Amino acid sequence: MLALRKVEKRFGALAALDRIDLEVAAGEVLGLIGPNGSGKTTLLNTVTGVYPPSGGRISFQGADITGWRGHRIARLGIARTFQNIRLFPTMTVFQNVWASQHSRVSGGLLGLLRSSPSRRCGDTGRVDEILELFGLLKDREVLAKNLPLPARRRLEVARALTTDPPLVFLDEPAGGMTPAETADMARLIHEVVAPNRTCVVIEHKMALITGVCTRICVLDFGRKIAEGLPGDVLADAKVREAYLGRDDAPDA
Amino acid sequence: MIDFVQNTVDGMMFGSSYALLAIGFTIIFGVMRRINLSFGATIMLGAYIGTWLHVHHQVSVWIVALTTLASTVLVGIYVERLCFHAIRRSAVLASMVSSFVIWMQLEEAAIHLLPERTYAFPALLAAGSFELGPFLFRAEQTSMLILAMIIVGVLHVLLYRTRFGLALRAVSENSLAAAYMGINAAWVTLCAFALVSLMGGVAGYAILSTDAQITPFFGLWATFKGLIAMMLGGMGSLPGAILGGLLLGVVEAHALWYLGNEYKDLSAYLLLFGMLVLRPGGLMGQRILSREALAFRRV
Amino acid sequence: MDDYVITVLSNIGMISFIALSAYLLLLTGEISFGQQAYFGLSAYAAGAATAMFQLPIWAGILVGACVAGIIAMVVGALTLQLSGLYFSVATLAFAEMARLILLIVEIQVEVDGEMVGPEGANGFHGIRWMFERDISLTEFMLLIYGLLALTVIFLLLVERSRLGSVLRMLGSDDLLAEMQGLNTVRYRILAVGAAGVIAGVGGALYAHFTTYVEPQFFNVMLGVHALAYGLIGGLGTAFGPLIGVAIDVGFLEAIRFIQGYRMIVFGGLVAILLIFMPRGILDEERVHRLKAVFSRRNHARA
Repeated sequence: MLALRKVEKRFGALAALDRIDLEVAAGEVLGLIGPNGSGKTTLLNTVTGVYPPSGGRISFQGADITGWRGHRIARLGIARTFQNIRLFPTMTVFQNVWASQHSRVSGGLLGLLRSSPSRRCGDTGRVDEILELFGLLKDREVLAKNLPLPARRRLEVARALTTDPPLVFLDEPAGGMTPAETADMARLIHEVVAPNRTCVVIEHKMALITGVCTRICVLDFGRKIAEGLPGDVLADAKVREAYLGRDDAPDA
Repeated sequence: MIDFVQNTVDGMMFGSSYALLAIGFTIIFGVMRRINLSFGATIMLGAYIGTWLHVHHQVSVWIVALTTLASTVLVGIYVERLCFHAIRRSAVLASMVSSFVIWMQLEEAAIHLLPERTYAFPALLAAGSFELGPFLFRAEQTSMLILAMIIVGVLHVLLYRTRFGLALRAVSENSLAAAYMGINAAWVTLCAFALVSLMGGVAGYAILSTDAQITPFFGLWATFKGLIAMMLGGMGSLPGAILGGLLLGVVEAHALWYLGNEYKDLSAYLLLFGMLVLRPGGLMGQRILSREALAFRRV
Repeated sequence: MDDYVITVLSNIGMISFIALSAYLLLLTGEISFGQQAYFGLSAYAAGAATAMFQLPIWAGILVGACVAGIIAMVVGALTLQLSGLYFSVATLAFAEMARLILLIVEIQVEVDGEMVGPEGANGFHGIRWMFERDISLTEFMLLIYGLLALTVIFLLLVERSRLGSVLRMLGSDDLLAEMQGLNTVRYRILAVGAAGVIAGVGGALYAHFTTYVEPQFFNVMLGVHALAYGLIGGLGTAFGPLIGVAIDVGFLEAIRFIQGYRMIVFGGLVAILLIFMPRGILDEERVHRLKAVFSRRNHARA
């Protein structure tokens, strides 16, 4: 579904991504792990068009998307969340999700002017459906900035799903959460996000990774050092060294 | 050729005053990440208070100079308290608009103080000129260039050799981290404001004595010349502010000589617009606005 | 109504256009110091259309708005990379360039034995459409408010629509907006162009109301005032800038006894207001709460 061929990203002399080859198959839940600064978020930013890669090619569903601008990639069907939660803080929960459907609803300028929520054009029902799935319906009219952290993380995932993307990147969906909240997020990913779509999860919390991922890929210093089934990868000597060697062990 | 060199020299002389104004902007921007639109008006009102003493009480030139500096600092502190300290740090726009309305306020206060259009401004040094080879130097402009160099030197020592300078640079890098390190960011900001106002007062006094007159328009002039020079050099960069000021002065001098008075300001704005479109970071600024920076902006 | 009141009201109306124009850009997160340029360029273009080429006023307004909109889009495309203070200063530089060029431009044609047209620093005299057609001040004021009402209704519709959300998304977090599939470049140029058109309508009206325009009127003070109006009134709704204009031009004009101290009082009041309401009187949160109150009432009635 998504294929990276020798993708490089350099910031000055630093190679944040060093000739990464990666294949994401349709329907799988890939866990992307690695110590801090290993290039996970850079990989995500490069794929979603925040910045172009310095080298290599990226293709998605057969189309070469190398160097495309972010909005085209998003329209093609790759959605994402952010490690440091990004929402539209002065919009309500409903508006955050509703406005984000932009790429699903086209129809030029007139379409933009017409479709307002008060006029009940079909898609508001869908927004409420998604909010319901993520347990946010009761907070529908709350401003996003007033939500507690777990709800903000859930809202981010909900927003990413509104465009109905075939591929979703979740960047630390359980960052800053308690074990109970993490388990709740794992359940949501398993029950709501993963069915019907491909999913890449970047995470430090091994409970979440082992709970939802069908396959794991490990990055270290911008290189892919291991890839495979969760059990095999976590037993890998190189992986343990990458984490334990720098006293940065994943909290199992 | 002689004209060209003479114009360049004149431009640099005049540009040194722009540089002084730009340094004020750049320090305030560096420390607060906000723009003080009333900087020029602050200097103008300070100088007006000095001139008022001169007009109504015939005080000596030295007292005018000292009053100008002292009142510029006081007005600067007033602006800092009202437009920056009282408004939370994230409300960049509110601070800017607030400093704008206070500019209007200061301007009206100055007009009430001295209601005529222009007043003679008492200078410390008598006007004069001397020749060096084929080139003519005006004494007061030369002294401004020297003054600018002295101020930059003092500022450099203050910023890089003192504890206050360290604190100020820490606040400008990351005010939250600086606060956790036990630096009183609010106090440092106030001190920086007072320092910049003092420097602005010196610059204003030097410029006004070169002009030998003062009008309420000085506030607008100083604000925009300083802002342009800062942007040309690169926001937040000290060497950039100096270079930007000199460049602005030189370009204006050449435009005035070769194209005429109506093209002087036009060329300055054209230069600024071109610089922003082609090289937004200015002469000395880091390359800003790249997508990389954007992505990490909220980290 | 006496002429003085009509003039003040007309001024409020015309200045509202430029305030709305600055507000539209504020929605997209950009602070423009340069909307006065579009106001001024359109005043010249519209004046030229009616006074030099004898076109009817609607054509003049259309020409002015189009000229302003097109130039705004070009400037918008050039400054696409810039944000924050860089954008503000670039717009300022452009506006001052435009003003200084208007100070130089002299194009005059002979109309009915008189020379008409921009005359450099002397301004552009003889935009006498109102006198030629015998239009009263009151009638012209109604024209101003008619067009203003149309603009406000348009902006309110935009705010209720998806386009409004799109603009607010752009203003709130452009990277996130792009990641949701928004063509940020296209919408930004669209917003800048629309803001130019709105300022342009105001400028075209201004030229015909005063019959005389000079570049000095379109200086940066006008632009910064326009910006301040939006911020005073509030960034939550298109009524915000109107409230700002009404407070400054209307309310303070009415209080005669502070004449001469007007800026001291106004400046102080606004500075204090901004301490407590940094995004204006009707900011997003207050608008949100007001809407909640109204919709609850409607529900109760239904």
